[in-house]
Amino acid sequence: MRYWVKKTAALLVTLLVAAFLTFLAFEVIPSDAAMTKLGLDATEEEIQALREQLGLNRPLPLRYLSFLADAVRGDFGNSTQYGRSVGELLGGRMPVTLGLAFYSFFLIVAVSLPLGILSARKHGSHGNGGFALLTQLMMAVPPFFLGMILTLVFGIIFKVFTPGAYVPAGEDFFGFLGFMLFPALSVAIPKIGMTVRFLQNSLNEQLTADYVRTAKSKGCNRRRVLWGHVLRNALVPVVTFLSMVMAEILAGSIVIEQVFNLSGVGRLLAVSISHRDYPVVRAIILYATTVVILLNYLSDIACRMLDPRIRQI
Amino acid sequence: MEHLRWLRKDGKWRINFMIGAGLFLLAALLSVIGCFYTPYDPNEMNSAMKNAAPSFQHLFGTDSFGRDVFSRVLKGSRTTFLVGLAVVSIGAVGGTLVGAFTGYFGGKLDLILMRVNDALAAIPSILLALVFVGAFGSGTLQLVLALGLLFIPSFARVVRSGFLVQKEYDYVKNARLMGAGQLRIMFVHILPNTKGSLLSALAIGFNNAVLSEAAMSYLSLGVQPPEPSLGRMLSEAQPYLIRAPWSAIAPGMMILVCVLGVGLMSIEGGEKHD
Amino acid sequence: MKKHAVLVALLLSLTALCACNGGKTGKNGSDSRSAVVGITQDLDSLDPHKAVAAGTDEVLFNVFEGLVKPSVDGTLVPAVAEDVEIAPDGMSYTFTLREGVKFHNGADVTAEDVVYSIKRCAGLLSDPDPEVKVSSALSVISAVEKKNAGTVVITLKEANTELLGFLTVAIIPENYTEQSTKPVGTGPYRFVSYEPLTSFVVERFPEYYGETPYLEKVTFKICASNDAAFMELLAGTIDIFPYLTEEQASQLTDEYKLEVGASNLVQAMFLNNEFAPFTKPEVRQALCMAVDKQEILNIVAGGKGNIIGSNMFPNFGVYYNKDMETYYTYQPEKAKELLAKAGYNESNPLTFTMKVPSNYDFHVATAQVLVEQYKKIGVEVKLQLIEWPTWLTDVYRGRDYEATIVGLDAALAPSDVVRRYRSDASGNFVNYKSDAYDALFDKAKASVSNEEKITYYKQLQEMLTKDAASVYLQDPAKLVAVNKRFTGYRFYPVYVLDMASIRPEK
Repeated sequence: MRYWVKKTAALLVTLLVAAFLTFLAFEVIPSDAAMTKLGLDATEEEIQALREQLGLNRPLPLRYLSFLADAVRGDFGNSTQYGRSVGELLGGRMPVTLGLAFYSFFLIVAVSLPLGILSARKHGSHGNGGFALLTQLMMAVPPFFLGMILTLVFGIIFKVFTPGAYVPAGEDFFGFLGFMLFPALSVAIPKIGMTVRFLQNSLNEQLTADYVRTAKSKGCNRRRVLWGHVLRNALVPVVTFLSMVMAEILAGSIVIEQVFNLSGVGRLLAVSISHRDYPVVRAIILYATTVVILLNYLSDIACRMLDPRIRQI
Repeated sequence: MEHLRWLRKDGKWRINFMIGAGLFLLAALLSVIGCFYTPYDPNEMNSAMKNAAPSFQHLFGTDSFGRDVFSRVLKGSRTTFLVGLAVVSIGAVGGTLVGAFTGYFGGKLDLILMRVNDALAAIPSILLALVFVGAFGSGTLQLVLALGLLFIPSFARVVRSGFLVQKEYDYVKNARLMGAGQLRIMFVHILPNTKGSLLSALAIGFNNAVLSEAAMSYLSLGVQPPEPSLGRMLSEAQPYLIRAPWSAIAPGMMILVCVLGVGLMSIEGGEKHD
Repeated sequence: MKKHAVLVALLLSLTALCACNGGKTGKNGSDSRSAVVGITQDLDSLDPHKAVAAGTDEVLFNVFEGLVKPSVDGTLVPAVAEDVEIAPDGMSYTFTLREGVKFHNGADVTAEDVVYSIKRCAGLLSDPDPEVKVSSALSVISAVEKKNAGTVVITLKEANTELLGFLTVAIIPENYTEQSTKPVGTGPYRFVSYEPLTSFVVERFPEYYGETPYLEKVTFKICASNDAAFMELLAGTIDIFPYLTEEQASQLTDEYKLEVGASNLVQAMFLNNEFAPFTKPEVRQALCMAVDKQEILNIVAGGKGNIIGSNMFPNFGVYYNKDMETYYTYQPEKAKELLAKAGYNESNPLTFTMKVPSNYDFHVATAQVLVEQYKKIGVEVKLQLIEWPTWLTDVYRGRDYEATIVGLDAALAPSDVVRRYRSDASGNFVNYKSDAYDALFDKAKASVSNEEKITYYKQLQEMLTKDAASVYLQDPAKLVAVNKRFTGYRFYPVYVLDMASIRPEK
């Protein structure tokens, strides 16, 4: 119970910090919504009038407070660019990005956990050289480059999928899976390399730890040491790492959505920043912050289940 | 001699480390050459030689402006690697400090710094980059600072989680009993034990830094055209992927060679030096 | 070994999953009476009076019409109005409305609607909406009145015979509040749906007074980038794509044909005439002579496009002063001499920074070529890529720059394209100041004789060229990919995408 109260308080604090940082960011960067919306052929008076209507002319502290008051009531205002409510706008784009994120995450976990364990078991043998090379290669490929190559090879040359033919999961679930495999792979492949690498390291750190030697000397067989003790401990930092990966997928989706022509939150964010559409950017950042923190919770919980000692913290 | 002996383990050479070091040295050598000599002026254009395929005149072909890709790769890798190294250094030092203190001491400091960390992680790098341009103007130094700052949270998390685990071990308790100072415990006893994950994070970080450099210079921060940088070359070559793949493959391979080198070295570099 | 097998099986099943699906995905354009058009910019508003981006006007051209509308040859043809009479003194315009024009919601177009629409764009409504883009050219209007059910009179504050070019502004129903979400106009196509960052869909309007278009449904697909759109073109999911780069055009598949037209833009390296070295005309002239424009075209556009020499493009027809194209030829030696006279030489080289909007790859590429060309006469140019909103604020409004590169478009009136050089114009971001120019411009705008107008506008262009107000480069080529199923794509002298003219290929 106390744990949850503490964590919720932490969430609120982080949200406040994030909101404040976003707010400050918009104070520092040049131009504003009124100016970008009216374009080249506008007079100073017209820009002022629009600023007045959008509430951009109020003093700084007042704007921040009124935003907080609205946000508490769950009202994120209207997009200055699209004139729609931010909730509606985000709701329309969310399924694409979440779909991409979960799909990639599934691929990462499904591929990298077995690979990582496999490679750690074979540590030191000759097979490992090729393995290390493979994971390093995966990590060294820039995601947008990978996306372009995948589109070129599988979309244009082999026609395995049709570029741009995204279908929502609700309409045609298998169509969705088939199309999204490629964007998801572009996101996942470098991360798979990283996760395997990370797991391998973590496992190796554990394998050289004293308790393993003790267990071995007590006559435990290798398999039991690995599955029973080492893996449990080695997964602790990996889970933390995976929660970071999940958070990064959201940030990375800007690029991948661009390459695969998906209209998700990442693209909305990029477009909104270039329109100085403050309400939308703010809402997306608060959303992202919430996701990051929720993931931290989940990884905390997972770590506590894996390693009882952490509970005392 | 001791170092050389380390290269052999259980009677076998540390192949990964040696391949990695070889690749890294190759990349480093090429970029050092780029400081003093390039076959052509890397920015010189030639409309008659647009997107020419690799040949003896132009080893890696030419790009869409008719510029010699090999010369640009030589010149660009220097910029890119320096930026990458600087960014990773800032991120690693800053992140290690933050992660070590928060992981070791916990408590209020941990709470506050981690909240700021989370908030920073959630704010898109595009926005932060724009803030940097707005506040400090654009340029390579600003790029290094902005990216360095962006890289702190991820290093901090890795180090922190390492510290959380390590500080419960007996050796830490023993050190404490023996009267070692807090700082000594943190940086002399615990830090070396998190070397494995830290080195992976460094390799990953270097890769990310090289790639972010491209994205940032597009957003007006950092290396400005026509000065070549590997990341920029890669994104400029994107539209010509079908017709002139060499102008993308050459900088791509250069990044790959270097990142691969660092990565392979870090695998075994993390092992104890005993 | 077992683990290997599991892993391989997993990967195989994923590949199989997508492979069997690939066959099922049909191509969008297989239905012959519908077309998918790729666009790369999201619409900035569905309300035509609030839309600012050229890309939005381009699309909304199919949904909205003004009293008059532009035609292919650059003349204005009647639309909602059937006839117009311009008073001999240029002080008033009398419009006879076409009978039987209907809005997409079924209502008839009335004189009240016309008065409301013009007033809204001219900023004459008593309760103005600040989001409406007030056209500065329409600010000369003093009153818009309904004379009778079929006639509307516009009276002006000062004589202006070129207002017609700006009266292409959309006619919309009076006091209709949902224009931004469910737009209603009078054009050949009516609105069906809009999803931000995804698509804008229109269908044929059966009660349109003019010729019935062939296409029943047009989907404007909003693509994330030029590269992404091109990938879709290669895959066949887009039928028409109007923003090909030269490189892309050379890679088109057999399914498409290439149509080449003009972009109708003045692409120039604009110089801040108040920035110290550029205050001297000989410095600006030297910069004009040091540019090899043909070389630029060859590098950035494969030789396609039209070299220009002043602030106007060839589609302005009779008003366009073609002689200016060759006024400055490529003379690097002479440029060096001029610079030497102004005090710049090898020990004291001329250096300046060029701010380039980073979202326009074409301008970024051109800027890189300029840097190299200037290097040859010992001028150092530093590039600084900036975001578009920053460009708007710092360069265009703040005039805080040394040089910049951008493309400017214009309405169908010669005054619109050159008016920004009037000393007091709000769009005079190059800070060009010339009393002779101002006087001549006013004369040109008010002149009622077309011959006089032609002479004046040609003189104005000549002044800009001789003074080297900026370094004018080119009107870039517009390269359009059209699926071979279709024919009839038409280029206009303004920025529009006309879908009503598309016909099937026989």
